[in-house]
Amino acid sequence: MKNDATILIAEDDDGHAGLLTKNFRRAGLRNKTMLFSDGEEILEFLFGESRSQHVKDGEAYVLILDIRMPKVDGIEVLRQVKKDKKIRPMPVIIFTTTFDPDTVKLCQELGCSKYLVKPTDYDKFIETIKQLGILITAMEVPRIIGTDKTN
Amino acid sequence: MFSSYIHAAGLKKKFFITASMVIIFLGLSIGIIEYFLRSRSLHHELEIYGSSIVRHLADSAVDPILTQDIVKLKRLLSETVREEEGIAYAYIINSKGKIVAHSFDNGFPDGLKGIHTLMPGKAYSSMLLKTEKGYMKDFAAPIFNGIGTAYVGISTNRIRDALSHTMWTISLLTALLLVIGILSFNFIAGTLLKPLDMLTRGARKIGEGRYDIRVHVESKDEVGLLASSFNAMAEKLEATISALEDDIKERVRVEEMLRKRERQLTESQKAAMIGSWNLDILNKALDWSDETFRRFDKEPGSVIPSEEYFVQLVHPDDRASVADAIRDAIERDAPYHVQSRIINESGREWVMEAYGVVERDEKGKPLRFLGTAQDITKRKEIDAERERLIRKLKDKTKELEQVVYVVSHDLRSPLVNIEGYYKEVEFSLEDLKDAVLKSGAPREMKERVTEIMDKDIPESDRYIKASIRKMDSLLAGLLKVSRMGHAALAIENLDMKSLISNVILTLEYQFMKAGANYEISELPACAGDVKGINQVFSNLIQNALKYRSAERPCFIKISGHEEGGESVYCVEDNGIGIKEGDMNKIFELFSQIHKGNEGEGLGLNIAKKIVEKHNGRIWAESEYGNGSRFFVALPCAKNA
Repeated sequence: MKNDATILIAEDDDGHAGLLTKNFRRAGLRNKTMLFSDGEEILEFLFGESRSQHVKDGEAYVLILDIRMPKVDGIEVLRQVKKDKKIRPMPVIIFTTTFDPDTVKLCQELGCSKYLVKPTDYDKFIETIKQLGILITAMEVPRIIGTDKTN
Repeated sequence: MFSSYIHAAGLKKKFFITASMVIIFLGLSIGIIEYFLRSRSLHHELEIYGSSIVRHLADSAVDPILTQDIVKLKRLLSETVREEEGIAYAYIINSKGKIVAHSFDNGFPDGLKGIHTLMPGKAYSSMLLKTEKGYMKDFAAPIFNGIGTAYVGISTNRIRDALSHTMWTISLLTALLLVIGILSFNFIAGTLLKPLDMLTRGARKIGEGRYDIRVHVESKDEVGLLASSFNAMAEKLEATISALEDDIKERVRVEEMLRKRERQLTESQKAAMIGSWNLDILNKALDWSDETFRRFDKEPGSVIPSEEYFVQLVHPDDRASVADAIRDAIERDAPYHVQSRIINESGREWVMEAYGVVERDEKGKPLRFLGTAQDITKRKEIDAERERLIRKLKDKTKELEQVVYVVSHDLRSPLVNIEGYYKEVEFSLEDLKDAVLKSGAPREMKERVTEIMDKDIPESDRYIKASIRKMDSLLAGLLKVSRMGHAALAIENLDMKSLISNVILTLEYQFMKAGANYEISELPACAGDVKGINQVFSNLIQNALKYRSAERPCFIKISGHEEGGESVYCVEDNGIGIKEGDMNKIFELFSQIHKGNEGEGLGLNIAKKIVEKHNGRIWAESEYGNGSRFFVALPCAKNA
């Protein structure tokens, strides 16, 4: 059951998203992945009304979140996730180019599970992806239990 | 007139006049008394003498008369006149009153006839007659029971002469007395009046302003006492006068100085265009300096300033705050410093900056309120312009930092892709190679593919990877620099010896690798942000390690001292040093004067940024080929 969590990737750079999924596969992760190209899209998925594109009750999710995104940035997404009682337990892994200590501190205060800096060194990148994979595997991923929005 | 002369005369003259008058009076009195006494006794003597002569003549004349011997009678008369002293004439009359004989040569004078008749029964009688030969005393005596009468005339000249002699004697005596008096007076004046005179003269000289005069009197009497009192007084007077003169001299000097100062003050006020004012709180009188008048576009003294007059010149919007500040200064001793707009009566508006203090008496009661007034309109304008420029600069700096921050981030994104997909390409090429080698392709093609894969691609690979790393390191550096701009400092007192020891500890591996040694002397504390200062010295020490000389073992010396409110530290190495022409470049962004070295060329720029954020200074000295010294000056540690 632990590996069936859906990996949500909020990343405006398609290249980065591609590298992530490619390397997840290479690292042996077989989870379902969903891509969102900006903050608004992921928020719509998490909180929106659309039935087809919505978090499903009883499912487990992990969010890999970039910070610098158009429309709504990652910090704001994180803030809203951690404000919502239902979504809050979902692990959020910040994966970004930003290694500014102030930003790191802010994300940790807001409640991110992990803060990872995108490396440019490919070997390090792979290592980081593996770390992420292990993290997702090892992490106790709580299922989203629907309360008000039951089908 | 005489009395006034006496009053005006000196003591010596008075004394002299008095003594002379006394002597003359005494002489006169004695003379008069003597004259009368002498006159009486002379008259008495004459009476006796005359009467005895006349009686003797009468006795001697009895016989000749009785015998009618006229000749004898005549002889008798002339003998009497000749022999007896002073007899002027003699004659005899008979009982019938007829002149029998007389001694006159030129006949009997008519005036004498019958003038003197002898009273019967009297032994003689006398009578004073006035003749042309002067006074005569005429004596008459009866001759033998009245047969006739004998007359003798005696001149009183004798008496006159004797009296005159007496008078002369007395006059002489008086004169002598006068001479003696004058001489003794001189003696007295010499002994008694001389010191008095000296005192007088001394007093006069003191009156003329010669306070050094002293009187020398030997005597121990009252005059001596007076003299010594006089001297004491003169001494005291001299001391007082001299003190007074010094005082006056000092006062004149001070006044002169004051005038000079005032001139200087006026001049400097004019030059600096700072006016001064002085409010007498008790009398409510406001005094303006000339320059203050000019500030208000007024000729000095052309108006009488007052607090009310001043307040109504203040811009209406500032009036309340100025009035409050004045009240606070006077009533609560608050420091008076106001900046207010002033609208002169000429209509010119300006900005006045005024400072003031309140002078109080020992009980704290305000006496005077005084201070300065300056036109700071220009300064205000300049200040505003400066503020605007600073704000603009800050905005620009912030903007630039933001740009750097964003760019360095956004540049990392493609870099991640380049690296990532390049690796994918490599994977794909590897797959391609496998596929080609396993296929039935011609041998030359397989050889060609193998050559590309084993030689060409790794060469490209090396450059691409090195470039990516370089790019990444540059972006990381840029990010650090931009972050330095907006990171807040947490200033605290830093124990620099332990801080630098820690820095060296974290660089232990690099020290080992470089075979470097170090020495830290005693270091003063400073006030700084621990992270920032750590970074500064870490960068400096790393540079010292990096640019070591190959010719000698690396040695780094860290020392420090306090100087002018700053703690100055020195990181000294014996490395390759810096060329003089490069000295001004070393702190610039991305300056790497030694090509081919690792690093992003930001270490010194970051160090400079951090030090400057601390209001400190960083500079370097170097001897090319022998080593460098980097200096960091930071604010001294604050007392807790």
